[in-house]
Amino acid sequence: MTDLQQELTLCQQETDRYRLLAEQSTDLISRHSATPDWVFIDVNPAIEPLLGYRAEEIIGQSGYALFHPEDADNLKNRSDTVRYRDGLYTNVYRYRHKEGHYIWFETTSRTIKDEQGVPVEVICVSRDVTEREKALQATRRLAKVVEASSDMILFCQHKDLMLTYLNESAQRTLSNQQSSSTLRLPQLFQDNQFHDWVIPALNQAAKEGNWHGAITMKLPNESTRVAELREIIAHRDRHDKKHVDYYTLIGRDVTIRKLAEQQYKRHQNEMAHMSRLLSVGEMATELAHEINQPLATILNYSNGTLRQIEEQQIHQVSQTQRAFELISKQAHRAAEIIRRIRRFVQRTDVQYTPFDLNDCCKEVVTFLNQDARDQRIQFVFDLDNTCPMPSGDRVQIEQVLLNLLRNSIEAYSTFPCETPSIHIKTKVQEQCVLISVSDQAGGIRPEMMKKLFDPFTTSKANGLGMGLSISRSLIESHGGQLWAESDGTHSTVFYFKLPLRQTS
Amino acid sequence: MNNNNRVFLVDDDTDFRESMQWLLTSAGYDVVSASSATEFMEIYQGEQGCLLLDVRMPGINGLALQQLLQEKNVQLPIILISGHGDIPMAVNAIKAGD
Repeated sequence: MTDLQQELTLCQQETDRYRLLAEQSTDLISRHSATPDWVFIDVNPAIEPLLGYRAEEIIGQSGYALFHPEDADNLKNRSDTVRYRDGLYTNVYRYRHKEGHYIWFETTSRTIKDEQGVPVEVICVSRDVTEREKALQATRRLAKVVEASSDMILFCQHKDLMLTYLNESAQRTLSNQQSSSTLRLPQLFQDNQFHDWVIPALNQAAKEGNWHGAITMKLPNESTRVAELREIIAHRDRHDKKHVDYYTLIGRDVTIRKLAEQQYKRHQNEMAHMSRLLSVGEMATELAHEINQPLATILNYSNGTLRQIEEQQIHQVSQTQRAFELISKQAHRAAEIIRRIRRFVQRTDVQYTPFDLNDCCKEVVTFLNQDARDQRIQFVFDLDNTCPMPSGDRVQIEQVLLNLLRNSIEAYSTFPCETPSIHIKTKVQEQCVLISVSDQAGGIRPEMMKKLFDPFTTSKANGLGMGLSISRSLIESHGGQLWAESDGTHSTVFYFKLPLRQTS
Repeated sequence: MNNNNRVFLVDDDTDFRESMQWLLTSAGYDVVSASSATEFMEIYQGEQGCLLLDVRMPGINGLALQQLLQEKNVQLPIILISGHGDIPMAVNAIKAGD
């Protein structure tokens, strides 16, 4: 111990010049024993403002004891915070202040060895980096959020649209085996999508700072997932504020949502189909009668002709021509009714194609002719001939119309009226076509109006109460609206709107 | 004119009515047709003959017309025709015909 003291005294004398410098330094300069408890041998006065101790208080104390427990073995463990260069270690760690709190230190240390290479002491220069560490920590946390986010986050250079960073989620979803370091933004979209949507979005972000929307991204071929670009943030050059330096792009894997949507659509279509089957079942008597009429007519012509042949009233085949013409016409009439019913109940995929709405209105009435005739109900058409063809599934629109018309007919059966009529009107309005079905069959009570479109709401004795609920969801899936107006005592009007220009 | 050959035909379906008229005419009957009960009541002058009547018609249906004629004491034999008749309806019609 005394040898060490003597050696230290020598050392002190040799470094008087440097001591002056050390005393003026705001960095902590300290010397420690080369032992595990790292005893303070000497410190400069900077110790006081930094750690709260006076020099004479700390000298002789264990330096190791002041480490934060988590950081104490940084050097031994070669942790991330330790760097080594040319015999100098730089370590960043938490160190205990006299008052008990910790401050962040960045310490550069060198071990002094004697001629035999045995460590003699450790010289340290330490600096308070608490502010810097706190800022760095916040940045590291932010980076972790970005990296761990379930959203896809990408950085894209403005000048060449190179992607400089993809977080884990983005790498997983977007890049195939090929290295993502050479990926450019256009590769993440279909060409036309990129030109029509992404470029304007980037331009908007460059102009206004950010962009929000949804653009479908192109995924590797084998991927079964669906992803959308949702947000772009433009980051300006730090020096030249006018120029965009890079963009942050935020994307989202929407596979689950899309699957749910598809499933909902499927269920909706199945419900619609079932409801059509049900309607046709309910109308079976009327439809049978409707088909029976031409069949009975055919019977009359064929029986009559056969009889004439038997009684030899017919001498030439041409005498039967008229009867055959009439038979053929009636067979067509029956076949047409059956064709319509089949088309109505067929289980087919929903097809969005342009269709003639006015024609659809007229055709659906043919299902109800018999019913309407029984109650002397007149169908009055007021169809807008200028109406362009809306895009949609004709059968589903027919189904909605049939539903509304059947409701009206049914309403008249409990509300006697001198001249019952149902008005069917189409009218072009701006970007959509408005269809209305109105009757004077007693209206709908206000308390009923409120829950009219709820499932299982019905005023009919044996109705299921799904008609209007299904109708509304069908119209909404066409991008339209369905609603009702009634004076509560006489008239009811059901309206639905279909968009004329499909925007996807 | 032989009144025994006269058939009154009441049916609202034009095609069917025409075919029936054609059939009966070609069998030698003298057919007078009407598209509704009301129209028949307007043209019927109490002649003899037979009434061929569709059960299902808008307004006054076949069974109602049968009733009406009975009330007016019109003794016209009635044949009811129906595309979708059932037994209770037939029983009603026959009872009403007594």
